[in-house]
Amino acid sequence: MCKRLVFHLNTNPNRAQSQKHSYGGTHTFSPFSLSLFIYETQSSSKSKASNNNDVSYHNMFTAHFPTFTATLSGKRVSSPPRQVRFRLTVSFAIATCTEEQRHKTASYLGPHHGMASCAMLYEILGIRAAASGMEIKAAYRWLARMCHPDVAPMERKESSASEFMKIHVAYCTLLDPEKRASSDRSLFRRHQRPLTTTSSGGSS
Amino acid sequence: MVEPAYTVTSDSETTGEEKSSTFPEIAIGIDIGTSQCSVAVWNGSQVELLKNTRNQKIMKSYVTFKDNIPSGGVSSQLSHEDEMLSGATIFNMKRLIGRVDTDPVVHACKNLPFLVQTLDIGVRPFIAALVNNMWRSTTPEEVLAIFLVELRAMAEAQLKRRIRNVVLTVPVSFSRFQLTRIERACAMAGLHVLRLMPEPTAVALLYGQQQQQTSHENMGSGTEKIALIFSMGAGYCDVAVTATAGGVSQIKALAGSTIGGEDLLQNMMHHLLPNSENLFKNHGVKEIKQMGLLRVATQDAIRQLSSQTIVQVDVDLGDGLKICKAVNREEFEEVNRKVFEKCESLIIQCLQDAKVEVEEVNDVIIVGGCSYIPRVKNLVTNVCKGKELYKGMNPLEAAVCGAAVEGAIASGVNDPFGNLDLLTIQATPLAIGIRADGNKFVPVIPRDTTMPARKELVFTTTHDNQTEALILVYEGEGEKAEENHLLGYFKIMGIPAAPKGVPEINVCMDIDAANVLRVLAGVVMPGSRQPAIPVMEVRMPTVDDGHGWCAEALNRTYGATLDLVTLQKKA
Repeated sequence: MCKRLVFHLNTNPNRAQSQKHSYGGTHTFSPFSLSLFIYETQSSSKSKASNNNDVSYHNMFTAHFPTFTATLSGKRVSSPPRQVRFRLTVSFAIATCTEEQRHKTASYLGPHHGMASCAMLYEILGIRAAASGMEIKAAYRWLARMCHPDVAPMERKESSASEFMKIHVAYCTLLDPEKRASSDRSLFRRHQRPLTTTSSGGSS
Repeated sequence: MVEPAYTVTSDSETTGEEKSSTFPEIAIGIDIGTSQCSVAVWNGSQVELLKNTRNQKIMKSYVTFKDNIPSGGVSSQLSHEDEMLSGATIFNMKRLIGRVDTDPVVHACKNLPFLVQTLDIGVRPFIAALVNNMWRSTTPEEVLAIFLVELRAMAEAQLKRRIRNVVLTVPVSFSRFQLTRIERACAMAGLHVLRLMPEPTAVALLYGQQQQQTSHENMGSGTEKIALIFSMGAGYCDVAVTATAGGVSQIKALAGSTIGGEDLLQNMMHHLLPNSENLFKNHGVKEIKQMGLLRVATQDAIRQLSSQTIVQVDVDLGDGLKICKAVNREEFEEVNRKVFEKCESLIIQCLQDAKVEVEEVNDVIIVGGCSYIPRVKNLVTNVCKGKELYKGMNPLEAAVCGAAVEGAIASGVNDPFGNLDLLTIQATPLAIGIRADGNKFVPVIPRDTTMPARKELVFTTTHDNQTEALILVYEGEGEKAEENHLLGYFKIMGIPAAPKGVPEINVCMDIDAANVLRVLAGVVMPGSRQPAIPVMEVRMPTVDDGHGWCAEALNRTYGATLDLVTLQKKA
């Protein structure tokens, strides 16, 4: 967690501020959410074959985040910054994957540890802290279409299984009202209490 | 004698292996049911069912060894129904494959015209066909391979290209051992299995595609739809609850059992002729003929009871043995009450596992040959509070169409209209775990876990200075270890000597997207983060034959000396 903060501070001071703010509020956007949105915009312009799905999801995003859209369109007019953001997204994904790999290895060799901090659950799914059940499901499906081993591009085939497992754990935890409340309480107390995968994985 | 058209190949071929090729070779979908089979393929814009030389889309699942040259129901045509019951023909292979001779399902097959013998010691049963007054032995894998060769030849003739990759549907209740037997039969027939799909999962994929197309037409927002899928054929009954939206079908729960039309038939035969088991025990030529006559008459009666409420059964078995009896629908339903009750409990269990209320179900889908039985329709409708049944699918073709769609997706086919923009998030039908806590089955991966999956549990020793542990991997739902299927075993050696309960033995199970199971086990001493001995990784199943016998032998030899218990988590 500490390393990730350093990562953000070094690359983008504005996002660091956004990062801090997302911990304390209930109506703000996580950095991952921002990145996801940019990525989605890019992918929709490239693959017209699946344009219908992207439009559908895009509309959902626009409907739920009007302020965010206005901010984006207001401040980011030129295309070069957008591309920069896109590359940043890729870096973030790689960092997440690397951390996941390291964490999995550690958790296997040693005593059983939690998988991800509670704040990351929202970031993994790219949703806000006050997201509804329908939003959680929509985000899960969207990410599944990108990360599931059955549909992931060939170069990411090997890492896609662990990526999808992580997404699925976040989805199961946040969709269960009791687990989500417990997770939110930990988040509110600003304690990084780990969550186990054993209990949440079975139910979906 | 002419040699069979198949070859014995290595068992090392695995599901999901990626093979490089210049052009995508579209996999075909195959649905080999216990009594009927069909083949389908994605033809570029939709699913097409293939036909044999007699223009049949749905063919009977059997292989006859008459005339010394085995031939299946794909190309050969029996002159009449009786010939299938002459002892020279083997059917119900899907029910027999991968089973040991202590299995009640195997014992039920002893009432069939071909020969099934059991020693009741947990090994594979003896199976033979009557050819020129001689019992000739075979195996379910061999019979299935012969059948698959004919299916492949039919598909290749029709599509005018080589067929190698297939997606097959399998029952939900199939164990991993049975899946390996199916794969082996495919390998013997020169086919490579891309995917083995539980039958209701294949139906769910087809449903997802239909919802996707409907959504396109209506420009809908892709709201989530919950579907209950009930599939009952001649050999198996399967249930699934799925959540579908935007082309993504998520399997929330699966349930399956080895009950089907064959059980309904056997119960009715027993009802019409109560002493039939003893009468047919000798398996002589006369008894075989009598068995066949009774079977045909009973089958006809059951079919007629789907459209009328009473039917007359008249059959002369010879030797002064005659059956002359009027049977009504209530009688048929009462004789098979336990079968129908089991079906109902599967639906209820599946809904509970999925945490879905009946009121939340949007569509109720019934497929399979038994879906035409009024009692089956009624029980599904009753559980679902009278909700109307989904009408968008052909009950006999839904599973094979779903398999064909999966074949296209798994082959990397791109459809410009988005008809293949689909994803099925599958779930494990059965729990997988190890024997621990004194002969208990301790699940590591519970039933209905989303795949891919990776989970671990921590165990510890049961004796002071215990330096070895026997890991017995089981699959199933029973509480005791022996009630489940033994998948494999290995021994952990070199555990540091310590008082019992001190070493931490991690058992991790990993299922990848191609449904390959690996079991990893390592030992860590408290306070240390380094493994005490090298980690073991074993791909399952490892037991190749006689898993019932093997489980009993292991228990007899080792008893509890190498047992483990679950390590209690400290708060």
